Amino acid sequence: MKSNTTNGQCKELDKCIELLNLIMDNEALPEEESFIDQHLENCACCLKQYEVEKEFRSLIKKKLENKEVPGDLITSIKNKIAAAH
Amino acid sequence: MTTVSQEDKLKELKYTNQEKVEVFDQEFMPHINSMYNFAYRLTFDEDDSKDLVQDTYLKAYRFIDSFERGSNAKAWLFRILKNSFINDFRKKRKQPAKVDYQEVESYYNSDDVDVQITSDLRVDALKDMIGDEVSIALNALAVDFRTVIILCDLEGFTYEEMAKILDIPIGTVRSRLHRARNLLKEKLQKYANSMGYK
Repeated sequence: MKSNTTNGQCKELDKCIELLNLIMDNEALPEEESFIDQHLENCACCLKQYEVEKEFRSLIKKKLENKEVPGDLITSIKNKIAAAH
Repeated sequence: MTTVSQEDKLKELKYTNQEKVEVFDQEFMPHINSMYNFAYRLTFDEDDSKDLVQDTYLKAYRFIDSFERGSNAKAWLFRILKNSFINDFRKKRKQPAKVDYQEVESYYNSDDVDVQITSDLRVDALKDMIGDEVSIALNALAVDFRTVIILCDLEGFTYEEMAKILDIPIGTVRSRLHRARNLLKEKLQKYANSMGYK
């Protein structure tokens, strides 16, 4: 498969990014996976983008901090449920 | 005359009070951390988040007979919370004195937005980013886009689960997520540029 690039950028970059993400979300069809497997062998642009997509996901997963649940929220919910009986 | 179908009768008898409390404690309460953080990422306000989560759990209890024990409690709770958020949000929109950022977002038809993709975001720029910048970028997204990123990338829901939570077709989940990620990358790219990454 020939690389389909202009000035080093894949002409189908947007489609490839979508497919890369489908694969990482475990939602891609077998034909979408094989398209990307073959495509990455010849497209340095998308191979580089694959690394960006992986880092982007890791960034969201690891760097967004969770807030602690206020203790009085749990108490309040439990009290209201108990009162409903 | 009121007629009660056999199915309704069965639903009414599904759980005893003790079983209801067991289901609530064992299947619903373990998700409170995810629920609270989802609420906070929608409202950006601690009191609103507490109200939203409490409202969600009370609704879940009220309708517990329509919940199948052992089924996907987390997705079920997220769906209730999302619906409560939309309904509360709609109520707030009717009060002119309480206009806020969400008013602007309501004009934003997410599925018609065309996004320019960014191809020059670099791995080293992403690695150097801190949580605050990621939060600011995520929070700046319109609520529909923000929601799919939270559900998929933070909470790990499948597309099928997201479709049920959001009441949209799977194809829309897929395209909305793609656009949301592109928009978020675009915002992170701007930040990276401002920090000297070219």
